[in-house]
Amino acid sequence: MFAIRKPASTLAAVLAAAGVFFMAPHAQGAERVRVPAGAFTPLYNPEGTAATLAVAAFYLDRTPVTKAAFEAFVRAVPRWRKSAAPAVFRDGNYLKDWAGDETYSASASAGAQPVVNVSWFAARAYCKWAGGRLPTTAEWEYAALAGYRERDARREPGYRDDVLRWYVTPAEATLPAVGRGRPNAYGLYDLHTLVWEWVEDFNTAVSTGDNRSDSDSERNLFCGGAAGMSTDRSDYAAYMRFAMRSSLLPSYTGQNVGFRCAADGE
Amino acid sequence: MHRFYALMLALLFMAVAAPRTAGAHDEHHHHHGAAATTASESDDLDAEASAPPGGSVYWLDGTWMTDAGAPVRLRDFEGKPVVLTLLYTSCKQVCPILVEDVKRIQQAVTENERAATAFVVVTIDPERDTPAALAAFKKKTPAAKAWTFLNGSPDQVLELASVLGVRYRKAGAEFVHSNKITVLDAKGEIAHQAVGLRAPVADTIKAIRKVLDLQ
Repeated sequence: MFAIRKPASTLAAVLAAAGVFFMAPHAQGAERVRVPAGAFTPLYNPEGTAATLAVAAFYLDRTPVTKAAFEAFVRAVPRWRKSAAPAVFRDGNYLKDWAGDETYSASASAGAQPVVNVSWFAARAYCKWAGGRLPTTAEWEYAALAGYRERDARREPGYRDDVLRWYVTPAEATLPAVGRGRPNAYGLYDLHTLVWEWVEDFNTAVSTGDNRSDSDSERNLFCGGAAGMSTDRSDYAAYMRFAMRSSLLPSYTGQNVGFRCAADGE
Repeated sequence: MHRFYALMLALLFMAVAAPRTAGAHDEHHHHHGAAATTASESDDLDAEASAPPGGSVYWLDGTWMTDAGAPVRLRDFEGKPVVLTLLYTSCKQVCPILVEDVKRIQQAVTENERAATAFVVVTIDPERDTPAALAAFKKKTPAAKAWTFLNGSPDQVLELASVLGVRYRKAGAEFVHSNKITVLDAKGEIAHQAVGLRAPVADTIKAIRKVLDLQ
């Protein structure tokens, strides 16, 4: 099912009216699902307290953004081509694995792989172009909390094992296509597999002392208060994600870092 | 206008006819004013003659409002060294120290150097630090008389902070944020950053002078 997006302009409305013939196939992952509003206790909370976060309803891409989709973007927006993107917005490995400025690969089948080697700036630019934005950390973690059947995977012990198994599985030489695994309870794929995913507010992990070796901050960071003390092994995956995000720079590109887009819910 | 729509429709037909297209055309970004909206759209910054160097902050081309209510782009400061600081005015503990740090830099340069340097302060709290609030803050901070305070959208602030490596996060009514004073060179690239509060000014002054020498 397609998420309904508000037309950005009269032009878009005109095109949208005639537009049913011009819609992309689902396979490119442009489809979004609606995640209803809710509240949750994050598995890992840097504040060290069992704080509850409220999340308003939002839309989230079913899968990570694919190479094929990103190719369409760089064709439409020359600024973001491999040879044109300014250094301030990406590091030297931007689209490193791409065959050319407008081609991800000689092989069209690679199109269904998640796009990687994209910076936070590039991911944001794509999402804006695609009529959305990056998800916030809270949105992403909330969506990722779901198991195959339950909205809270802590009620599904088998699900946690699957998640942790992925963390110990060596990365494959070629990234698999998106959307091949089992979707979670919201119909979302690949949240715990394939790639790390950029979020809008990855940058907000600030240690509370100016001095990074401030002992109070370290205690909060590595012991994690209530969350860290529990024996729930899902916390480990959440901690890994937190650590990963905190270590990233916005211009960083990595062969295991991709993204998916979100949009405000209605 | 009708010809414009016809052109877009024609282009869309052509685009769909090609293999491997995305359906995102109808969700395209807003067309900023002018008519150039084809796939080969380029704005000022892409024109080779005037493009800033790849590492320049001036690639961030959004519009900000000054404390005087005037619209500016960051690129308008091109050509001078810029002493750039991110803070917010209702911050009671840390930001006053940061303001003092900027004052010390201002005092350490000569009068001519001061005139040739832009002192810019960007608020990380644009909701409360409206241009009027920034003007009020400036009024009760005499040393800030020649500074430019900027208010932008949360999105713009996030991007600028990210480029500068300034982290911030809302925590209730306050913000937790890192402290940095950046010197941009004449083309908007980062020449120097003083990290943390009460950083010694010597290196910052050296960086400003280096930029001025190259003018």
